[in-house]
Amino acid sequence: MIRVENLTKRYGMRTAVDDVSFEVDKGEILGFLGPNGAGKTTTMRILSGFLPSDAGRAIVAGFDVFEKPLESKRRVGYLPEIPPLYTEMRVDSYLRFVAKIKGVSSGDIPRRIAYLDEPTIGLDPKQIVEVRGLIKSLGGDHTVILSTHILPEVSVTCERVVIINNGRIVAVDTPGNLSNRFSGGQRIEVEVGATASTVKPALERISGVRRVTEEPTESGRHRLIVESDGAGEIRHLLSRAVFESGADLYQIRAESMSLEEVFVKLTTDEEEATA
Amino acid sequence: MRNYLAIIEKELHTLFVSPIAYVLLAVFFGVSGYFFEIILSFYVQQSAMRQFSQSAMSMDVPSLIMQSYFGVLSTILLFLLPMVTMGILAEERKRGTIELLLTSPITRLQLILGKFSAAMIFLAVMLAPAIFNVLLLLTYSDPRPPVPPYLAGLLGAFLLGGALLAVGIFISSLTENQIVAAAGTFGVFIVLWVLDASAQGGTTFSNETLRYLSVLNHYEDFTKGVLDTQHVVFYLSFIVLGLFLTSLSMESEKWRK
Repeated sequence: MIRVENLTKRYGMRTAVDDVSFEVDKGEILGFLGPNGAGKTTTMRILSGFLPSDAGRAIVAGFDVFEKPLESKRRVGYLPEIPPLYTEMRVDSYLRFVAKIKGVSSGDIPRRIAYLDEPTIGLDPKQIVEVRGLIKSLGGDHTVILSTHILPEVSVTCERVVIINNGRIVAVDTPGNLSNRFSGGQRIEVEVGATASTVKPALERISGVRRVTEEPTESGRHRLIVESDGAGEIRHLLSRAVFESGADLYQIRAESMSLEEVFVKLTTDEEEATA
Repeated sequence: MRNYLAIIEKELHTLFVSPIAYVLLAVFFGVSGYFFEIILSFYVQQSAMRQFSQSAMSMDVPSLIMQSYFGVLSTILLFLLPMVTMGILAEERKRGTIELLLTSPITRLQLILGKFSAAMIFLAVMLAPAIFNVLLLLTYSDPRPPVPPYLAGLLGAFLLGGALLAVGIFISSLTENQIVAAAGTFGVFIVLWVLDASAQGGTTFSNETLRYLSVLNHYEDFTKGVLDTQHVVFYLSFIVLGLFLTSLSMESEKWRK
């Protein structure tokens, strides 16, 4: 539905969007994630036909946004970062005006594509929930690009995520896969009784376990942090190993790396690399 | 066409909801009415004095009144029109609503023409008392003067106003700040106004050119009730140029911050 090919946009010396390519399928909700200034808004503005690009193409609903701007604009709904309100207008006349210039009427092509640029900024918690629900309900017959730097928003609403930083795409995947891929596996916290010295080698012997480290606790127990490769379940193996080594098991808890951590990791690594 | 009308409607709505429109109309009605009264009593007095002194020279009182009155109108327009156009694009940029307009399936031409047409409608409302005053003159003068010269005067005021509005819209497209737009427009108006004076004397090419470019120079014939297509063409080209420059300015990259 939306195809972006090698899009590049420069502001003077600074490259705001650098060779960005991605695709959005029909009915998909794509999260467009990145820190402030990463190029999210610039990309949205190019896709909506507000800004020209310096290189690359963008095809929306089969129409090139630069060659057939009116055709693509006719099929797209765009919510800019700053909601474009005529504050002196009443709500009904404002809506009527927008409906007219957007060509929303019975005879027109139904709009099935939406770009939302940080749509929940400035809303109260209840409204945020409502808007997220609305965005989710758009999926299926609407194609949505949701730009945001709020990570829970992406995990809640999006099927796929594009992470952009310094104008470049650093990752494209589902929120779940991203968490797994970048955590390089899982971290499992195991709290055992006094005999940690015998438990630790037992845990290390389990296949898939990369490293076991011990963390101090206030009580007399021992907290072992098990890092594993891959996303496969190993908690049952861990608990069995603990019992077999004769120790008491108090707690076992998997902490998969959150999208937040993935995001921070991706965007800070990039910054360090370019700095 | 639908888009064009929608823009006009919205523009008029914005204008007439803001207090600026009413202040401008009130000032224009008041000042132009005041001057009309002064001019009227002055010429009536003059003609009465001539009759007393048995002067052989007769004077055409209605057309003298018209000429002075339309002259005054042009000066008031010069002061007030920058405030009509100052926000017309600058405010859209400042509020970010330009993003709404430029991402809608409307053309730049529809947008600019819509805004210009709305400004012209406002100008027509502004000139309503002038029409009323002209009707007064036509109704109460004896013998009744011919109508066409007065229509020429009104057309002149409308065309002059249109040219100034087109320039104002262009200047409003150059900034995000209404006050800067108003001040800039006012400055440009004054330059266009005095071009004529700076070319006084001499018939060199540059003097002729300056005189030709002066917006006031072309207005004079209208106030005398003369309709010359040369002047109509001048104002129409001025409007086209102003709107074309607006379009170029909006196309430029810098326009989208």
